[in-house]
Amino acid sequence: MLTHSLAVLIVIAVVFAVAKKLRLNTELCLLLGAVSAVIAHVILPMGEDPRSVLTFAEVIRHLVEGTFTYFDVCMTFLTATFFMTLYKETGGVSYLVRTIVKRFYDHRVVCLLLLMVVMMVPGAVTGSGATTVLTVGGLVGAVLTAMGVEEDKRVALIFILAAMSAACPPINLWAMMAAAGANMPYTGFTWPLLILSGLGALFATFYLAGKGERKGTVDEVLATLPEAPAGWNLLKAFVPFVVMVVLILGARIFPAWWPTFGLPMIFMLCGFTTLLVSPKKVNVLDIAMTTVTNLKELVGIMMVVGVLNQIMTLTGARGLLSLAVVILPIWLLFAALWLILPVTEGVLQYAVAPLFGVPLIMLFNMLGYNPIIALSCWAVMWPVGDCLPPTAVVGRATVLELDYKGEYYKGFVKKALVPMLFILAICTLAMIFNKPFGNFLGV
Amino acid sequence: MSLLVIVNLIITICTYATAAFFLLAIIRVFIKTKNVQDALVYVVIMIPFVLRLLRLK
Amino acid sequence: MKNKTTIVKIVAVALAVVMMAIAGYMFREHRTYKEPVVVSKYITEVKKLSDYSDVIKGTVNDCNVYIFDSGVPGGTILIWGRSHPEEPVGVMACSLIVENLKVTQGRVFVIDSMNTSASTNTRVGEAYPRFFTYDCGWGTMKWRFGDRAGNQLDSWPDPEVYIHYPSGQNLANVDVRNINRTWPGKANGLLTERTNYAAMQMIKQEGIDLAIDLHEAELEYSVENTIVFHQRGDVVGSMVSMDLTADPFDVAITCNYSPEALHGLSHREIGDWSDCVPYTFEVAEPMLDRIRGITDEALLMEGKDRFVMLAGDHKLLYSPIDESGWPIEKRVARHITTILKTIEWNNMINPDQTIQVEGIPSYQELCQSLAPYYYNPATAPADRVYYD
Repeated sequence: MLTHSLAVLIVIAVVFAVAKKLRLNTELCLLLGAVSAVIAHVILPMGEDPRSVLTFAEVIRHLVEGTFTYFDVCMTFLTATFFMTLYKETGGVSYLVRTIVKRFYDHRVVCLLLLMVVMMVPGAVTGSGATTVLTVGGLVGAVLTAMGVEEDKRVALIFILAAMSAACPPINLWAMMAAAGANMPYTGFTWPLLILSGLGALFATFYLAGKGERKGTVDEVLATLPEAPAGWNLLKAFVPFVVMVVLILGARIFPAWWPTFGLPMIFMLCGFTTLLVSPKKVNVLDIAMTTVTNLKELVGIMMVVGVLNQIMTLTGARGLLSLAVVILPIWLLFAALWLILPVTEGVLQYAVAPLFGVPLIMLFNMLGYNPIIALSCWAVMWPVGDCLPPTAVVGRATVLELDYKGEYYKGFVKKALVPMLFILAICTLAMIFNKPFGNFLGV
Repeated sequence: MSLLVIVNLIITICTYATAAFFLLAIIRVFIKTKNVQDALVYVVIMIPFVLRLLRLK
Repeated sequence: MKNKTTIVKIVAVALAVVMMAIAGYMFREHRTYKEPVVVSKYITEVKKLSDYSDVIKGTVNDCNVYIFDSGVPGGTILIWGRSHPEEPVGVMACSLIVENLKVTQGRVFVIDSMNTSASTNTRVGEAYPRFFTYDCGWGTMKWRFGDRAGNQLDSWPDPEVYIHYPSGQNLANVDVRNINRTWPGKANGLLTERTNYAAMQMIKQEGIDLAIDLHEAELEYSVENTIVFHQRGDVVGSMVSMDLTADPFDVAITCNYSPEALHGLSHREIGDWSDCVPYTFEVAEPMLDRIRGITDEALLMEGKDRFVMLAGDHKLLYSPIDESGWPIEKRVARHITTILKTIEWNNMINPDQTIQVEGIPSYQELCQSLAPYYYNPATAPADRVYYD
C-alpha cells in the first residue's frame, strides 16, 4: 500500500507539472491531477490487504462530492466579498480611506496603523486574504503610493497584511478546520492568533512602509484618490459594520434566543444595509458577477483542492503525507515546520489544515504540549505560504489588484521575505515555548 | 412550531436563495467569458451549487 | 475561435450534467435507503422519539425506539447507536440487540439510529463509502455509512460559532449538527439540538436509570478503548473496566471520568440534567485515523491499515494494532459485552435497578461471527420488520 499511495502522489505531481507546461491554469492542473490519481488508483496494485471494489459510478461520486468539501467556505468568501465589493462600488471604501488620509496623513505612524486596521478587518471577518486584497487592497495601495512607499515594498506589504488578516481572529479557517477535525472546540484561540498575527502585521507595516518620501500635500494626495459619492458620512460608513458586529455579538450575548444566521447570511444582510445607506445605487447582479469573476481563482482552487483532497484520501496519498510528517522527530518538526507549512499551503491551500493540522494536533497532545498555542502558531504560518506556487492565490490576487508590473519572485516576494521570516520565527518560538506562552495567556 | 424555529427556517430559505443568486451570477459569467479555461473552472464551481439547490447533497 | 469556445462550453456542461446526474442519483439513494430490522419476538412496543416530544415530529431524526418491557419491576436502561454514523459499531450492536433480546426483569430501550440525519450523508473530503454490509449467509445486511454531523439538507446554515446551550461554551460551528455536542438539547434549537431535547424528555418521562452511548474512535485519539462515565457511575464503570480487562478482553478497556468542563456530550449532560447515569463506550476504528491508507469498506470492516500500524511502531497511537487489525466482529463484541457487564455490575451495586436479559451471544461467539444473529427481513413476519 505504501508503494501504491506513493505512486499516486507521483502521478499527481507529474500530471500537474505536465499540465502546467501545457499552460493550463492551476485549477485545471490540480483537477487533472485528481482525475489521473483516481485512474492510477484503479489501475495500480493496492497492496497485500483485501480491498473493496471501486465502481465507475463511485469514482464519479467521489469527484463530485469533493467539490462540497469547502462549499460553506466558498459561500462565505462569495458573500463576504460581495458585501465588501458593494461597499467599495458604492463609495464606502473611498470615503473611509479619504477620511483617514484627511485626518492622519501628516501623522505617518497613526496613518499607517489605521491603514493596517483597514487591511486587517476584511480578512479577520471572512478568513480570506484574497477578500482583503480585492476589497481594500487597491485603495490602501494608492495611499501607500502617496506616502512614498516604493512599488515592490507596497505590494509586499499588501500581501503580508492580507495574509495576516486571514490569520487574525475571529475567523481563522485553518485553526477552525484543524480543530474541528481533531474534535477540539474552537475556543481559546483569540489571543494567541491576535498576538501573533498582530505582531506580524505591525512588523511588516513599519519595516516596509515606515520610511518614505511623501509625494505631496494632503490635498494633492486626496486628488489622486477616487472621490466618494456625495451623501456619505461617518455614520453611514460605519452602519454596515455595526450590523455585522451586532449580528455576530448577538449570538454570543443571547445564545439561547438568537437565530442562526450563519456567516453567508450575515454578510448578505450587511450588503443589504450598505444598499440602504449608500447614496449611490448599483446593480446587485453586476456586483455579484464582478465578485464571481474576482473570486474565480480562489473559489475554483478551493473546489478543486476539495476534489484533490477527496481523491488523495481515497487512494491513501493523504494518509501517506500525514504519516510522513508525524513520524518526524519532534526537534525536526520544530526546526522544519516553518518551511513545511507555508510550502504545503502553496500546494493545497486550506486543505493543509485537516491534512497536516489534525495529525499534528494529535501528536502534540500526546507529547503533552499545548495544542491551542501550537495550532495558533501553525494557523499564522500557513497563510504566509499564500504567495508560493503552485496556487499562490493571495499573491496573484495582490499582483492583479495593484497592477504590479515587476517580477513576482525577484520583486515583491523578495521584499516580503524579511517580514515573512519574522512571522515564521515568532510562530516557531511560540510553538517551542508553547507551555509558558499558554500559561501566560491562560489557555 | 416555536418562533425561533420558524425564523431559522426563513433564514434557511434565504440561504438557499443566496446560493441561487450566486449560481445565477456564475452562469452569467460562464456564458459571457471567452476564456475556455475560465469557462471550465466555472463549470466546476457550479456543481455544488446545483446539487445543493436540487437538495441532493 | 468563438465557435471553439462555445463547443467546449457545451461539452463541459454536458459532462457536468452527466456527472451530477450519476452522483446525484447516488446521493439520493444513500439518503433514502431504509435499513430493515427484524425485531425480536420478545419486543413489547416500537415507539417514535416524537412520542416524547413533538419538536422533531415529521423530521428525519424522528427515529424508532425499540422497547422491551418484561413487566417485572426493575431498572430501565437506554442503549443507542449512531450518534456518529461514521462509527458503524453502534448501529450494528443495537440492531443485533433488538433482533435477539429477551428481557426477564426491568426494561430495555434501544435506539439504533440516534442521528439519522447524519447517516444520510457521507463526510465531505473523507472519501467514505456510502454503505457497509455484512454477509449473513442468507444475504447481506446493509447499513448507511455516514458523517459525524447532521446532513446540511436538514440543517443549514451553521452558526458563525456554536454556543452550547445552556452552558455557553464555544464549540466549532459544525458541532451544532453533532449530536454528541448538543446534549441536553434545546426545544427551539436546530434539528440536532431538538433531537437531544426529545431524547432527554424520553429519559425523564420513562425514568431511565442507565444510558449507554456507543462510539468508536481513531487510534490517534486519547479517549480510546474506554468507558467514560459521569461521576455518579464511577463505581459501576470502574468495576466493569477491571472485570472485562481481566477477562475476556485481550486489549484492556480503561475508564475515565467525564470532564466537567467539557459540555454537550452525553456522558456529561445526561447525568447533570436528569437522574439517569450515562456511560459512553469507545472502541478502536482505524478508518477514522487521518493517517490511514486506502479508504474503503474493507478498511471499515476489517480494521486493517498498514499506515496506522506504522504509526503504532513509532508509538503515536493510544491503541495497539497488528496484522489482524480491528475487525468489526471484535468491535461489536466488545461493546455488547461491555453493555451486559454494565447491567450485571449495576444490578449488584443498585439492586433496585435490576435488569435481567437473555438471548445475547457471548463475547467469543460474537468475535467468531455476527452472521447468526441478524435475520432475513424477506422471510420474517411482516409485523416484525421495522425500518430505520
